[in-house]
Amino acid sequence: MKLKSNILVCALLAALMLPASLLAADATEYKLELAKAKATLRDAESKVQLWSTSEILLEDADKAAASGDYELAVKLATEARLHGELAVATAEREKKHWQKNVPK
Amino acid sequence: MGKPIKIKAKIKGDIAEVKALMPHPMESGARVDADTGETVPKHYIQEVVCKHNGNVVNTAFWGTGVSKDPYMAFKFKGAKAGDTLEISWKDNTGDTSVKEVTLK
Amino acid sequence: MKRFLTACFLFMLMANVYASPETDRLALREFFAQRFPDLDLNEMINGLYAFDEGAREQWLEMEDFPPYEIAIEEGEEIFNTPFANGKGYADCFENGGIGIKQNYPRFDADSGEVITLEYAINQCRTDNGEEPLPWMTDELAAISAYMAYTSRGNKMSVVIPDDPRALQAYESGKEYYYTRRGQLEFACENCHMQSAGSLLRADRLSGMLGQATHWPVYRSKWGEIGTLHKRFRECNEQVRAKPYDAQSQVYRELEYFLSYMSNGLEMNGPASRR
Repeated sequence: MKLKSNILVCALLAALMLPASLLAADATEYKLELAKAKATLRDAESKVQLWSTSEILLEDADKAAASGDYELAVKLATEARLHGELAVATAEREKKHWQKNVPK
Repeated sequence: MGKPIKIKAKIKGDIAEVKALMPHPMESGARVDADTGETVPKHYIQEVVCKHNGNVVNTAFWGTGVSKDPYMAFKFKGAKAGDTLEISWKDNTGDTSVKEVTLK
Repeated sequence: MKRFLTACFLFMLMANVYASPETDRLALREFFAQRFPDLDLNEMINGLYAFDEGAREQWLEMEDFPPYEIAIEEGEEIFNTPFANGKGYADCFENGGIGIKQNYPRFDADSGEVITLEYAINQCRTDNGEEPLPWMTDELAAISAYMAYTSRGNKMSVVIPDDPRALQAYESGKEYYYTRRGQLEFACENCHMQSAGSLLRADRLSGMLGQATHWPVYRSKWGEIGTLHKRFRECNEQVRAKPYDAQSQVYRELEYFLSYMSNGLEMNGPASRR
């Protein structure tokens, strides 16, 4: 009886800890986010819309990854990607609107 | 020998209005070179002496708070056309510059 | 008949397309004339000093013995120093390089590029076996300052030749000027047209008209003389847009557009600013 309940408790604890380890960022996830971020920033740059505050995020992400803090690395890469997305959105919006402020 | 001092002087009545522009790097010693990361050494004018017909009419003791290419203006009494005005400076490296003009 | 009509249509299209920069320039003048009805538009070559009485007084006092005088003298000395091959800057430019800054930027049909004065200065160096000067150096700005000084009083006279590439360069510069960019999403026109004459922190904003006539500038903030492209970089950084390199294509095209907009205004470089 006691052994069975002990095993049950252990199994329960293991089950609770498993999702946490699955959620923790790792090198693979970082590489993925980094690639997405770089692509988006390059897109923004091709549209003459790269922000001055974006590339430093990737530098910091690299440093975090190098020290093993993949949580932070992914967070920074994601933020950089967001910068790129917003910049590309500005580019698309402005393509339609910039003519409106030209004096005629 | 330091860069030449540029002087402009006007006489109004018996008062001379003098303006001087002194090309000089005026490094405070606190600036860090953006490229090398090294601190740029102190290099600034410490003393300026102005003489009218050989008599000192103005002495200035400058520190690191004075910016690059300092501009100085002052007036003094008892000036007449034909008088000489000499301005000289000495900096913390021992470098000097002297300029003499004839008042008109 | 059909061919005649097509030809007419194409001609009208081309005529409209070619007329565009001049239409833009006149429309811009009208914009400022309406915004500042009591202002002599020619005063706008003095930037914020056209709008700010107090700052203008200080500036006029400084003009008595301006800080850019040093750069003009240095520039003159460099300009008159021959290259190793015996030739000089005077050999590269019309009129010996004296009084010609109002013609820049110009469109070079051979290379298809917009050539600014600084670009031409370095081209002169490389054509004569000299190392080009880095774009943001004192020496390059000094040569430009001297050439600007000899051009004072001449009217800005930028030409957009009847070449679709030249027009495209102008249009690219124009689109750049009116497009919002950077994390702060500002377009050049937000400050220099919509908010011209208004306060931005402690300074009044200059207007687009006359912005290209007075370069290079001794900016007190810099403590030295600097070129227009240095200012472009600064403006970009201020709105958190990644700046381009000085004399990059984007900036040369922007300068082309800006200079054309100031056509007819007096060249008054080099100038001092806060």
